[in-house]
Amino acid sequence: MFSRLMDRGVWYTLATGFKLQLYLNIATPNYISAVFFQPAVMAILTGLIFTVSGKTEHLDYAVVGAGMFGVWNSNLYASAGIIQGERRFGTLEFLATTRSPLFLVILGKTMGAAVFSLFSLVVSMAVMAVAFQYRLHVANGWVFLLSIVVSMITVTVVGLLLSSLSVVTRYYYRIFDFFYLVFILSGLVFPIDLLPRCIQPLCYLLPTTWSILLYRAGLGTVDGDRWMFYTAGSIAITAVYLFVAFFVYRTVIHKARVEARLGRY
Amino acid sequence: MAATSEAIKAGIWSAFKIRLYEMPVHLYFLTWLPNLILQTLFYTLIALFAGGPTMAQFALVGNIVRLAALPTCIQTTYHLVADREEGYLTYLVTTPVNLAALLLGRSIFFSMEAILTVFIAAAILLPLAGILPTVAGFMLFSVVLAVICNSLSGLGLLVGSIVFRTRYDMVITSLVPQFLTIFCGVMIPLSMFPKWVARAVSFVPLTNGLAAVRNLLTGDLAGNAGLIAAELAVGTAYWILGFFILYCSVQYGRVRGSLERF
Repeated sequence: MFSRLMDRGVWYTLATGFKLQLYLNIATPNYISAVFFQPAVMAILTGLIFTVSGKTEHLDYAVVGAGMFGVWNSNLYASAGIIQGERRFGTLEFLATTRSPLFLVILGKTMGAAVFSLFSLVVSMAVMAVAFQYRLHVANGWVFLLSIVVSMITVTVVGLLLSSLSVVTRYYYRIFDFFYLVFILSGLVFPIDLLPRCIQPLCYLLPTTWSILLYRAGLGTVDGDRWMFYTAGSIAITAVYLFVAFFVYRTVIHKARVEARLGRY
Repeated sequence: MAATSEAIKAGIWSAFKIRLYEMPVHLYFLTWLPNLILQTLFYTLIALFAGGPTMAQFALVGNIVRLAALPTCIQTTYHLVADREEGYLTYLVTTPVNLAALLLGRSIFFSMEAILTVFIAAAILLPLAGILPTVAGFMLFSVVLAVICNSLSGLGLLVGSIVFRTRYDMVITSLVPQFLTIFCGVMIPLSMFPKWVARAVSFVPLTNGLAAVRNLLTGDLAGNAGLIAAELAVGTAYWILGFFILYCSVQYGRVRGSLERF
């Protein structure tokens, strides 16, 4: 395993996938919209609501919420479309049969999409600063940086899972219909204490919940001393998702290859 | 007259078939409708966190009615863009079919879908917020909803006629519902905005209709004629303006032979 990681080809494959997806996202208006415009509009909406309600102390929720809204929307939209895109361009069969493992190609591309989606956070902070004179107060800079790294890993892993699922059905994009469920359960713009007690345990099954708690620990809007707990929770749940993503990927791709269905549903 | 009626029927039928292909009935109920209900709940929870139960109730009603924008406004634009992208627009504008009637037919189907969606969402969510309209209020609500759907379709046609020859059609179109959410009194009362903003958005579809719906749901059945008439007038104006821009754009494209490219 270690020797394989040392293989230059592994890193080259990852880097190529990463670079390709980054370029593709930059050149595609829809991704630009998801990363730049959607979080900006969300930031204005939530910022206005908190301002007219006189709850300016909640603007931290708005900035993190709008940023993460863009991160998740753009990255997962891009990730889910990776295999679909290869299929449409007719390159999926080649990728599946060349020596570079397809999993690494997809991993590199989901990482590219994840890094590109980071701009959403910058956009939401900039919009809040301009529109509401909001100044980001970071209580713990290291925890904030850590939260960004952990969040990127989490988003990449969930992207992998969605990407694999898109092989199964032509209606794969309908999975986006449940994004708002994820946004509600992860307390994107409000604390999860607002939800009924009976569904609160479900919130902790989502990696987004842990990422957002870690962000807020960095900003100091939740108990900052618990950042290690949030990090551990985030890593643990991401590991479970990675395991599931890898299992789904292997099963789905293997089945599609055996049944000669890589290029069609 | 018969040809116009046939064109309207063709519009309804083609919109129905395309929507059925994009969204089979089982997916509508299993994923799309839950998505819309969850979307409404998400924004309502934000309002609850920001301003308590009163603001949450305000946002709930606003977001339920705003759901009408997705099938009407967005679909009208997307279908126009799809016509051009898939090469049907050339046939539509060169055959003697009444294009306005065809577009009207499509919007009738989209409005039917929107009304069904809003009714289901309202039936599930309004009782949760303790809002139970009277029978008369509900009947009037249906009428206002139809008027709102008409004006949102007009908005969709206007947006579509502007963006259908650009590369950024999806980008601009996807921002329209957010614009409506922010400025049309969906989540934030218009009284919170400067007067000139409130006055300006009264010329945007949804604003007047939504105000009428709020009155109806609180039991104020009389005194909404002005708001309904304003919504109808705004919708008609958007339809006319949208079709005029579409006509000019199509003529320009035909004369220059550029209808099928950006």
